[in-house]
Amino acid sequence: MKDKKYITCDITVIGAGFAGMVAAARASALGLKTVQTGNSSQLYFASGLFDFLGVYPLHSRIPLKDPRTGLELLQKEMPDHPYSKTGLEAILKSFDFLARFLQSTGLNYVKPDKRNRSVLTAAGTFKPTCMIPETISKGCLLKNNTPLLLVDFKGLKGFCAGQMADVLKKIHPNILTLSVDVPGEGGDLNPTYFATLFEDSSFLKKLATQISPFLDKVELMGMPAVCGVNKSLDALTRLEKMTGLDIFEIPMMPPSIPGLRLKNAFEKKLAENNVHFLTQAKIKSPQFNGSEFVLDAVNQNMETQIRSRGVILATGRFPGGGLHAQRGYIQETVFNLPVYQPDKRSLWHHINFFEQQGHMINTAGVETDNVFRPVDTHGAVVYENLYAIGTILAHNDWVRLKSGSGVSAVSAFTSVNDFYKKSAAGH
Amino acid sequence: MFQIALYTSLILSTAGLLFQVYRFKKKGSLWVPKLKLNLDLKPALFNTIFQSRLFRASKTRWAVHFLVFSGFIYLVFFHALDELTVFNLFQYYQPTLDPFQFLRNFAGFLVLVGCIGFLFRRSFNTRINQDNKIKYKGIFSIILILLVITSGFMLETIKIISEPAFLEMVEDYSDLDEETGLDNLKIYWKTHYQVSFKKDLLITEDTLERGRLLNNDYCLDCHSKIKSAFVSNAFAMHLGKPANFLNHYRADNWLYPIHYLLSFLMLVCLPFSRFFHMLLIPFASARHKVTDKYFQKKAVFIHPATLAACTNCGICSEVCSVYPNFLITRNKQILPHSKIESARKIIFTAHLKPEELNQLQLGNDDCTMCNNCTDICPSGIDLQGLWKTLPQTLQKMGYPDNYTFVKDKALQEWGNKESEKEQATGAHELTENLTGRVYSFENCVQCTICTNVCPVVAYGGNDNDMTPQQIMNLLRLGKKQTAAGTRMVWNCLTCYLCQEHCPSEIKVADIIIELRNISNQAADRLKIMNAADKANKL
Amino acid sequence: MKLAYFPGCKINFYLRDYDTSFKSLMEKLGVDLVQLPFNCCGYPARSTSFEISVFSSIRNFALARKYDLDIITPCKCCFGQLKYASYQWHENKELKQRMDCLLADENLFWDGKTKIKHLLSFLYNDIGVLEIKKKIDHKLPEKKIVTQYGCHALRPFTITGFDNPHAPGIFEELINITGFKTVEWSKSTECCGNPIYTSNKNLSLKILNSKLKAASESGADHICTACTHCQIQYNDLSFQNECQKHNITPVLFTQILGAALGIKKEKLGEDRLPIFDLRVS
Repeated sequence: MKDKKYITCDITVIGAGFAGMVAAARASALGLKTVQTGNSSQLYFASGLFDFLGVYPLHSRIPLKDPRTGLELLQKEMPDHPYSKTGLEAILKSFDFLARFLQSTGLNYVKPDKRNRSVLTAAGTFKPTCMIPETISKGCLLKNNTPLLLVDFKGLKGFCAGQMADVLKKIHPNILTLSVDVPGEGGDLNPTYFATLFEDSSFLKKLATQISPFLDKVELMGMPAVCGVNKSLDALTRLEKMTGLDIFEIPMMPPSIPGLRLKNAFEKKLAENNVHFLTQAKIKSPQFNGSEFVLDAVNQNMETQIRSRGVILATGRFPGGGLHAQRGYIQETVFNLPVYQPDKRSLWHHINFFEQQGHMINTAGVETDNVFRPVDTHGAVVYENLYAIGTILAHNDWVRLKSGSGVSAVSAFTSVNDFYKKSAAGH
Repeated sequence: MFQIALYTSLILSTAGLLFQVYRFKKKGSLWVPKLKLNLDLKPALFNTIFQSRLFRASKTRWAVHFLVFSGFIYLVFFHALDELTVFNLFQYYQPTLDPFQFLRNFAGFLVLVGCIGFLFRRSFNTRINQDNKIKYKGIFSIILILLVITSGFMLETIKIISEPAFLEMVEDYSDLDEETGLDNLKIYWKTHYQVSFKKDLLITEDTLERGRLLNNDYCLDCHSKIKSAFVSNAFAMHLGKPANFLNHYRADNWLYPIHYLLSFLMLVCLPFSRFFHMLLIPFASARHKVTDKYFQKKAVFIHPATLAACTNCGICSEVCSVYPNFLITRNKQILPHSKIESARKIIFTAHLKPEELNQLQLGNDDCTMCNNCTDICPSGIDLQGLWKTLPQTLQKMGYPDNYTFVKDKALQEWGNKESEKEQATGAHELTENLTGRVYSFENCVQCTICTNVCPVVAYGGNDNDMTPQQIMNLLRLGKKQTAAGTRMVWNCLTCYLCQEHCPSEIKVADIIIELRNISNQAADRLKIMNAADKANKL
Repeated sequence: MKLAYFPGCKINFYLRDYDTSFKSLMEKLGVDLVQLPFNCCGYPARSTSFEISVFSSIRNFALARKYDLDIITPCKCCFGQLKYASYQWHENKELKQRMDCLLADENLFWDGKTKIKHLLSFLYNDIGVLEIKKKIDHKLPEKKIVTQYGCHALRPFTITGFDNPHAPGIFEELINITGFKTVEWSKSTECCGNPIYTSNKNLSLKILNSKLKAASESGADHICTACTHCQIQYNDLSFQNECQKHNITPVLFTQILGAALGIKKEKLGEDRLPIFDLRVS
């Protein structure tokens, strides 16, 4: 006998990845009574950078300088792509909303520019992206011959200043490196724990003394993105004041701290906005009774029956559990929606891993109308108030287009807006 | 002969006491290095006189015990030591006068009833009685008391019925003879004092009346009505025929030495039997009131002498918080009353088999330090103090707790146990069996989130070895035993941060806890084997 | 309302004030507490045997069921363990049978119907913040306080269902109505270190120290836990003059709320808390 609870709400967001979080944020900001289910830990894998459109057309193989030009082309060539359904304005608005939402939690992002920003990565390469945390932003100031200091920490894996300098040397010769012995720590360092040390001012002081011999020689300093978890900008500013340098963070491999910051920010603010969060709950046997969805959210010990007018499906793809690969076909797991997919399994992957055209399976997913309501094979909307957002959407090879967060954000934003508009008209 | 017996027993008893004090001192300095005896006499006095702690623990038991205690104290002071006490207090004192005669009987009766109560309790099946060795402990003392009291009653009975004693008294305290109406007095005493005469006497109302007058003249000053000696009188009334036989052989004369010799035996046994608790409990309960501060200071009031105050009453085991552990493992050494018995053996006799020591260590490890036993102990023994110091003692003896035991073993050594892994799960043991089912950990993608949120990894430093995600990997490699022997498994705070954060929803913490169970069982098995080896060597 | 009071092993002798003030608080809120001869919740036995730990809990449930009472506890470890055992009992048929046998030996039986409540979730869900707020007649001074949620109540959420495990809030809500002001800090959902206090004291205190440091960086005057074990851990360190170093005092939630509800000092425990001297009313 499990405890059974009953909740009635306006909208249920299934999934707590990036798209789900944005949807819940938007819905709660609009004053909708929101329930969210899922596992928010996947946000640990997020880089904390929000991409719009990094590469287009794909065969060009060069990072896009201005995503708008790419978008225009994409809308022409790929009419089924989610971006083609929304247009530029919605995308910008969704980014704008996201920036404001995060700012209210104390996590500051630099608003999108007309051009893509290129962010220095831990590999010493540059990644085109759109919206970035303020702590990372100064990395874009990198110009030739700005004397730069790259700092790494002994014991912190996946980040080596020397290696980065080697890669960067060709375009930026003026680089010094420093490997810091972390005071009071030995052995391997875990980014999460290590990042909390930066919130302690005595630690920052010790760090500043280790950097002090370089102060005359450089103007700019780059360090791995571990500068504090909750008050990162504050910690970075303090370190800047102590050293007098401009400092920026460099995003690392997951589990990444900017992702963790994002996770904390969303969780905190959504809880404040009274979003009812059912962690690790799975939706079993969803039903639609003509006016409402009746969903059983089940986890180990509890069963919650949710009655909700709208449902937003943000369950992700294979790792998130939104799509499931059977022997010969791909299934959508919650509502068993029709999935756009290659005809047979042999077509899922190209024989060549780095094939320029990509793998067919990456375009598989749920097909929707212009406001992201899933449609069946005849193009008819399946449920009036069911939306699918994020990576589960078909025709969206976001890894290669470098457009993951953009698609998630805009689909979440558009769908919630549409639901809100409809329900406002209804009442 | 009385004098010789008295002095011998006094000397023996004193010598015994001194020996015990010496023993406590010696063992005390050996076992608990520094004990500041900061005694609080108030609770000690209160507990000794009124047995207040026992009252709190169990009203029935207190009632029974207090019967024995009060009766016994009365008998010692106003009967055995009457020459020192009542003789000086009351000019007219005679043991055969009321209220003394009645009170003596009453006290004896109380002790008798109490002792029967003691024996009665032992025949019930309670938690403590599951241990036969302890069940019969102290029974010698109870029987000795019973013997002393019954011999006393018998002596009084015989004296009541005794014709020779009657005649001796008549000779000593009157000038009566056959002519002056001795028969009348005899008749009166036969009817009212239950004396049994050889000769048949003709009882008429007239003779009885004359006997009463004689009684008033000669006897009444020293003899209250025999009815007040209600126990002995009852015996005397129902003695019947054998009375004459007893009179003939002067049973009173040989019962008397039996009575006092038994009493002296009690005196001699005082330092070496259950009787000793009368002296030790005041010491044990001279403990300061237990407060929050007391625990914060980690104060311990445990001394061999306080341990000896244990009367095996078993009340501690009735309130023991981990009684369910006993119900499943059936390890007697989980229960406090067994543990203290073993501890006493360790201290005083050192005759404890390796298996027993091992069981004691395991049982003591289960203790949650809830202090219930200390709180309730009628003797006022700081039992929890003992449970706290016991591990150190056991470790010195070569029986460390599992944490230390596993820590001191190289991981390699645990890894070698891999072959016996099926045995390791323990067929009878019910578990969630997460480590035995691949699907509970196969989804691990080694994303290191668990490691990143783990406080043990963050703060453990050199105290820690593997990380949670590495444990999952060891499991995937089939190295269950190796995983179970890691420091991570033993340092785990069970804070569940890993489990809550795992994107693959693996029950990381539950798996680690289960590994700790496996590790514990493996350590137990190893220790039992070691103990068996030791026993063989002995 | 009548509930069986599950004190847990430690509260009676290690944190008596918590016990006293908890009882007074319940009395004030009109809850009858019934004391039953409960045994250990079974959490300590988790390390050694799954079976023992579950049986310990189930035995307590069976005792409460005998009197048809739900259980309330002020300890988060006990709460978590009882929840866990109840979950396992419901899931595992073999376990259920074994428990039935063991209980039958003592003439007990459990049908799974007993509920377990923690002090905080009880106040929040069963009584309600508004209801308590109405009864508050002594506003306490605006002292800054940080809260610690206690691992075993919060996690695993799917079993305990206590509060949002990533961004919990009921504790803050309950404290803020007293006049105290809760301060945000980074380690409110992290472990206090108590579970390994006996086996690895060094690490246990290191973890605790990091928490105190974080709490004092956040500018708080007090720290509060609503869990017997966490509170013992903080009290222990305060004994070692560590708290003074960080300028932070551990306080009991029941005493704060009790004081705000106007319960007399004497009924809230022996050790006087700093808040009583500062009370403005």
